[in-house]
Amino acid sequence: MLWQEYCGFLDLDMDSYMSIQNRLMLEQISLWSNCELGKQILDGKKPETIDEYRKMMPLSTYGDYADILLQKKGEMLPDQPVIWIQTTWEGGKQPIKMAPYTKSMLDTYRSNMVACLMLSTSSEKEKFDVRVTDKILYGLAPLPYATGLFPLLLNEEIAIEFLPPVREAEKMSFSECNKAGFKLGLEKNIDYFFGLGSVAYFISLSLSSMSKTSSQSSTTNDAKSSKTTYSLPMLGKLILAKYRCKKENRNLKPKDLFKLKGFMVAGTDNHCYKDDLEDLWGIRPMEIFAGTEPSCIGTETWTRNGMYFFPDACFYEFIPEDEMNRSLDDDSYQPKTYLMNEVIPGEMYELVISVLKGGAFMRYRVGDVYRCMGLENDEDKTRIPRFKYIDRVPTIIDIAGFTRISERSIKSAVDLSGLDIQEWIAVKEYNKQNRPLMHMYVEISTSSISSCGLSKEILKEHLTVYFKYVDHDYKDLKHILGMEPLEITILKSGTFEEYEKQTGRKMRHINPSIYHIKELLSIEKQNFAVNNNRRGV
Amino acid sequence: MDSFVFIPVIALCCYTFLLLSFLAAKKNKLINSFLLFLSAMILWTGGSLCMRMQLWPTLNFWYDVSMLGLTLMPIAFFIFIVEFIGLKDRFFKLFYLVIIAFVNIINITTGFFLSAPQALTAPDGKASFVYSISWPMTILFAVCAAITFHSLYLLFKYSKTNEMAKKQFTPIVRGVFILVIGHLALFVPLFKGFPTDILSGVCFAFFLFYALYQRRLFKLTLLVSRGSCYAIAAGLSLLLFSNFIGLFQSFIDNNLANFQDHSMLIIAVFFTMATFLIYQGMKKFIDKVFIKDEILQAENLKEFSLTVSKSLNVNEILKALVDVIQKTIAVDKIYICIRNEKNDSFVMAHSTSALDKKMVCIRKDNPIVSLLSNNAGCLLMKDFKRNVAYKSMWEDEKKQFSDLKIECFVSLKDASELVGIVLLSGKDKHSSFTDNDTNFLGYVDSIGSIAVSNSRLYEKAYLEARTDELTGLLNRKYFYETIQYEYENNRGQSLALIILNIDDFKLYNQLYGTKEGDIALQKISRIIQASVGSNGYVSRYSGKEFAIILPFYDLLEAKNLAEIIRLQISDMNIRVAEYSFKKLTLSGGICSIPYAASSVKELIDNADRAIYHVKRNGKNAIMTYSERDQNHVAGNVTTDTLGQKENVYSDYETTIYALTAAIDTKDHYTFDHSNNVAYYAVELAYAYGMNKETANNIRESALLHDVGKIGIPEHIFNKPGPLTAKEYEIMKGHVENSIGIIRHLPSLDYVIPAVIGHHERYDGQGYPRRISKEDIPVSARILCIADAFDAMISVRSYKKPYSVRHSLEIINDEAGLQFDPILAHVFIDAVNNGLIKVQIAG
Repeated sequence: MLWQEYCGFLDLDMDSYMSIQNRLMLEQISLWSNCELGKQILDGKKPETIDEYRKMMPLSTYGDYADILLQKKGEMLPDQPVIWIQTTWEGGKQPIKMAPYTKSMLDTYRSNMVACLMLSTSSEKEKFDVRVTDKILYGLAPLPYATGLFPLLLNEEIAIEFLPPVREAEKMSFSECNKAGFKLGLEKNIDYFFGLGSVAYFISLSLSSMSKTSSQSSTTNDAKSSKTTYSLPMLGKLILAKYRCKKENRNLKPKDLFKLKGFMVAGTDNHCYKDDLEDLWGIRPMEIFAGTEPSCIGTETWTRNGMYFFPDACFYEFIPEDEMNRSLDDDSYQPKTYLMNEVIPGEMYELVISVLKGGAFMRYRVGDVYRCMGLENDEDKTRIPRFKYIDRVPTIIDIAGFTRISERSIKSAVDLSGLDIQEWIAVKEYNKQNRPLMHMYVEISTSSISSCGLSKEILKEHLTVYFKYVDHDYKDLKHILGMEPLEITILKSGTFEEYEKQTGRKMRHINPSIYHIKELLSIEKQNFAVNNNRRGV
Repeated sequence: MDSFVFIPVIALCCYTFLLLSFLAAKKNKLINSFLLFLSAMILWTGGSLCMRMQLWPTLNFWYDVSMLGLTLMPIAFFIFIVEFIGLKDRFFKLFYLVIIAFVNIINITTGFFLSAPQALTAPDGKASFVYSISWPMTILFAVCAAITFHSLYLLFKYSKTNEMAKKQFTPIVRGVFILVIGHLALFVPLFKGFPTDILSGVCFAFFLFYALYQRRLFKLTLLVSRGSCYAIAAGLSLLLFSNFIGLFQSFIDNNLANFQDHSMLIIAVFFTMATFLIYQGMKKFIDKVFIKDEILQAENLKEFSLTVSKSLNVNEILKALVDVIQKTIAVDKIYICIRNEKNDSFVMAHSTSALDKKMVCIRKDNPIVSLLSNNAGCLLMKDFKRNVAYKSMWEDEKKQFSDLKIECFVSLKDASELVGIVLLSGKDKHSSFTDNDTNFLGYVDSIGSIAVSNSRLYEKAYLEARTDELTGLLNRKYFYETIQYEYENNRGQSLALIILNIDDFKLYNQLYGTKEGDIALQKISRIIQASVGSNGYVSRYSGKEFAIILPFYDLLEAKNLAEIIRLQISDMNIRVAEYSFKKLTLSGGICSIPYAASSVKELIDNADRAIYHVKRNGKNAIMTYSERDQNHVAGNVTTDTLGQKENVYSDYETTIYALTAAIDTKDHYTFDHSNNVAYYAVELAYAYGMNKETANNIRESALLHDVGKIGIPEHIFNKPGPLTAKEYEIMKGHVENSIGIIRHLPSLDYVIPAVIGHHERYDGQGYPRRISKEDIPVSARILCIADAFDAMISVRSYKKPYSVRHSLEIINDEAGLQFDPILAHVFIDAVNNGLIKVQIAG
């Protein structure tokens, strides 16, 4: 019964899925085109059908809503927002984005989160194990960020205990919060873990050291941490685990202490961490797809193999890859979109959402790229399209779900640094450990080569400092995850110019095609074969 | 102990009764486990009873039976608990079964744990049983206790995580508690000799029974059948019989010596009667305590189906539907939404209270519609909310349901098609809907559905039979029925009839097409209906005639009403801004009983006659019929309308002269001809007794009657000799051409009837419409004579002029064929009398 209520959407066929989508979209269109925001954007026109609406309404980005949403003009929206959720906008004009949430959006969000929680514990259809006495270790940011809604909403539905309790967590720093969570976990056991993939990994690694310190501190009677008391079974587990680790000569892993029922991760680059997280916790994390503007829109199932979009959170449209690229090159181009029942397996799509139930964002380009993995799945017996999250759109470099680096933010970091960089491109790459990094290929101005000390290290240090200055989230990468994700390759002077001369095209600054980069590097080698050692890794 | 022998007997009866009843019930694993438990109890109690009574075959046999029952009891309880919670624990079930089987086999073969007791007979004949208790007995009890504790542990564990289950477990735990107390009480001296263990066993069984009942796993009606009542009555009678037969016999022997010979008979009769009374008593008791609700339900259903089978009125059926639900389930509010044929949405048609808002409307794409269409019976709101389809509900729709506090939906279906939805709000005292309720609603649904769809079909057919399809007014047939009915029912009271006839409606259809004509009819009928309201009946009396039956109206009131309608309709087309539609006018005739008629036929005829007079006098007026005026003006034309018409015509003179001038430039003959025809026609009109205004109308028609000849090629026009068939067709087209020109001048349209009809023949052989006799407007008939006469006496390229005499002869010959006979003779007389002077074309 509960399964049907929350996870019943997995049994839908394409037609019933689309009828939910269409019906709710019609409601949303009528709400939206009657509100001030809608009248302003549509010029007072009132579309009657979804097709009409898609023809009338151009695709939108946050800039189209900024003047109304940043000033929180709730009265201009389709429905009065209950809460405003904040997130970082890409660096530049405005540091933050605000997104309104209406009561019914929150209701949907809640029920979809419960579905995620149930699915995270499931091993097959209709089998789940969620209890009111469960405890969850929560590694995500509190309000006013969207992730902060999760504990609030979930507790309205089921009294799961958050470790540490939400009220206390709001006052703590990130690492304090994690430490407190683990300590409580050692006392009370942990049934679920939910966090950004990268953060979850970082927290998990620090467990062994933490358990070490806590056990040490209990022997040294440290006043602060002497509060940590192990429950009797947990103490037994700890002793057993330590013995086993010693025998196997390895660090303590969370799976030695906890047997998770459910493990959920969100954010980008989860694929880099999933295997390691599975090794650490003994259970494969289930990916959830959520964002500030779209709310919680999709989840994987027990197969952990591709995600499904909730039919009642947003109305989904998909821009095929080539249309997306064309629109990235030409701002004025309106790319074609396809609906959920029109996607083709194997294709990559940029997601476009219209938030249902009185949401503000309509035909909004979230900036995420998905690949359709199939239209039906025998494994979990679904008949709706399944997707895999690929990454942000190519114009944005997102490292570990923490930061959104755009061309504008790199340019301002380069300018502020005062380094005499003539040309640059930035690419998101993965290192040998499969961790994400930002690789910048730079060309130093010929005038500075001989006069300034511009080694790779200096460039890296300098640029890192200014990235941290420009982008606060970038600072958190180091602060929270201990990551330094910048790699520099210095190209010989004139390479970019030569590239343009030879190929007749200019390179995209952010994430140009891998083939173009290879071409660039080979041009560097061909013409200046003498300077072999200048390229760094 | 013997004095309490009835206790194990009663216990045995109870168990057997429960066992038999449940054997009849629908089985599932839980019920089966309860059956197993009852069997164990029967084995235990029955075995020990038989043992104590030392029945055949041996004491040892009955002892083993009772031991088997006793040891089976904990495991049956365990299985019951496992099923009750819904666990899937096959291992322990099997494990315990094996252990118990093992224990029993050992005990039966060796008596290792506890061997059969020795029966000692005391001097007073009473038997007592001595057990030789040894230490292995503790093993036996330990095993039983372990299984029981395991069951209780499961209960405890499960209730910790499930609040709902806690309530359901309470009776079971209480039963176990009582069972333990009962067994402990054996050791209390006070109860010595009293089988408290057996009594507590009975209580325990009933507690388990109650737990099952709470879960609604069976229907009491199924258990408490006639058969089970017989069984109980038989058991109790047997008990009575066995205990009291001796006493009774001695009572008869001692006190009623006379009847001694028939003692057996008396006893038999007495016990038969006692059995019968017990049976009746049992049945009443059970009905009252257990199945009162179910009987009530059945009675209500019966009454409901009887009510709806008698009625074909939708509202009555809906009311009965609401009543039966409210009587049986006690819900606060019931709303019934019926499908609207136009847009397939479901609109509220009935509710518990007339004061409820009638705003409930369920769109056809609402998920509840498809859910109810696909599944029969009822759907609880809580289940609907759990259905994926609920996700597509709009917030407004959710709010509508929650404002009305809807908790249950019941479908009304006609075959597989959903025709209505019954919405039920919460039950009294916040109790929730039970399985019984939903079953009941299912029955109501199936009975109600058929009734509703039949009655809707009937009402539709009934409505179609009595109403006019286009206007929705009563049709002619029903008009006669109604007026007759009103006349019969209101004898001595006044009854007025207004007949309204749209002027020149044929022309309107010709000008704008029948579609516009239909729209105009609908508009007019709406105006009339709105003005009459519920004071009378409006019917479409004929194509362009409306009749209004007004009971209790006198002539004056009726005339005022008709005048109001006439004014509204003459304003009707003014509002259409983009096109200049012709103004529609009405001619109305009024008559009333008893003032001017004494029967329905007379009433209708007189009203018709009044219209005729209006038409004769220039239309667009209301006239009442009165006996005295019949031979004079025969009416009472409202003076203001006549004044209005004077102004209307004078305005168009200029246009008419412009058009005639146009004819003149094309063909001077036609110009002269038109002028001559105008003269003859006007004179004929006067001679016929028409007023000046009509004569003026005819004059203008005559001036314009050949305006269409502008479009005829000159070679045909002036062709000497006869025309070919093709040329004649073209020539005939001048009538249509004339209309084509005049129709663009809505202000002149009043001439069209005359123009379009001036080549029609009285016998219907003319053109273009081949209408005949009075269907041809009188102005056209006049024009026809005037036109023909002028043509005959004129010189044309293809013929010589006829003499006046010859022409008049032809007219005389053609009277009744080409010409209106009356008008023809009036014309001939007028020419002969010199009233009409012959105009010789120049």
